[in-house]
Amino acid sequence: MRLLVINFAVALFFIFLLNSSFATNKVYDISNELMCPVCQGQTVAESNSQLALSMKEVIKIKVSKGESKKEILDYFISQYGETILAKPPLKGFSLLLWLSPPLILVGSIIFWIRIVRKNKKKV
Amino acid sequence: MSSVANLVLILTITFVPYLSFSKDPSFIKIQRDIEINQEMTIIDGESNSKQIILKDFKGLHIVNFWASWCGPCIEEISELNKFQEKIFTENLDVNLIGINIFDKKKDAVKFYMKYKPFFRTVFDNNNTISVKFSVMGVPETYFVKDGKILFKYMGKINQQILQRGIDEVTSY
Repeated sequence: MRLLVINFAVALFFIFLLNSSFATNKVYDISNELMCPVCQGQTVAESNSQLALSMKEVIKIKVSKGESKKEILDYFISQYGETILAKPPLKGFSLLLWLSPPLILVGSIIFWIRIVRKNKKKV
Repeated sequence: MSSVANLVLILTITFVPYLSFSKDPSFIKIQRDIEINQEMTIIDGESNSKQIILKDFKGLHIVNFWASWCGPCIEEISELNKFQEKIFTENLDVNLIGINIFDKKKDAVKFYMKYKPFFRTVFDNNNTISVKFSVMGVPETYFVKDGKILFKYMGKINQQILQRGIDEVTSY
C-alpha cells in the first residue's frame, strides 16, 4: 500500500514537471514571436527590458489560464498593433516588400538578356 | 495672375511645416476600452501598505505611469502636485492616480518619501498593468474616461498639458 502511494506521488511529481516545462516552452515560443516594442530588433524572448519582462509575465498568466497561442498573439496585436509580430502577415505593404527583391531580380535578368540580344544582332 | 499663384505657392511651402509642427507629437489619440480588475499596493510610506483593486475607471481619470529611476518623473512631480491642488481647490471631477511600474517596491517607497506626491500612488504587484495600457516607457500619462483610454501623453507633463488633455477629453 505504501509503495503504491509513493509511486502515485512520484507520478504526480513528474506530471507536474512535464506540465511546467510545457508551459515554459509555450511562453518562450509565444514571446519569440513578439517583438519588444522598445528594443532594436529583439524579440520579447531575447530582451531583458522592463517592458519585455512585463509582456512575458502577461504571456505566462494567459498560458496558465489556458489561452491558445492565437488568442495571446491577437491580444498583443490589439494592444500594440501588427508591428508587434516578429513575422508580420504577408499582406499590403509587407507583401510588396517581400515580393520586390525577386521581382527586381527577374526584371533585371530580362532587361540584361534583351540588351545582350540587341548587341548580338548589331554585331 | 501667375505672380499671385507663385506667391500662394511660396507661402504654402513656407508655412505648412509650421502648421504641422504646431501639433504636439507627444499627444497620441488612442480610443480604446480598458478593462482592469487588478490588485495594487498603495504607496504611502507605511510598511504594511493597503491593497486596493484598480478597476472600472468610471468618470475622468488621469493615470500617470512613473518609476523611481526616471529623471523626468522626478521633474514632473511638482507639476502633478500643483494639479492635484487645483483639483481640490476648484473641486474638479477628475481623479489623478500615479502607477509605479518597471521598479522595485522599496525604491518606489523611497521615491514617495522623498518627493511626497499629493495624489494617490500605487505599485503594480503583478508587473502586468503596463501591457494593459500599452505603455512604452516612463513617464506616460493617460486620459481615461468611463473605461475608455482617449489620449496619452509621452514624456514629462506639466499643468498646461494636463489642462489641455482635460479640455480634449471633456469635449468627447
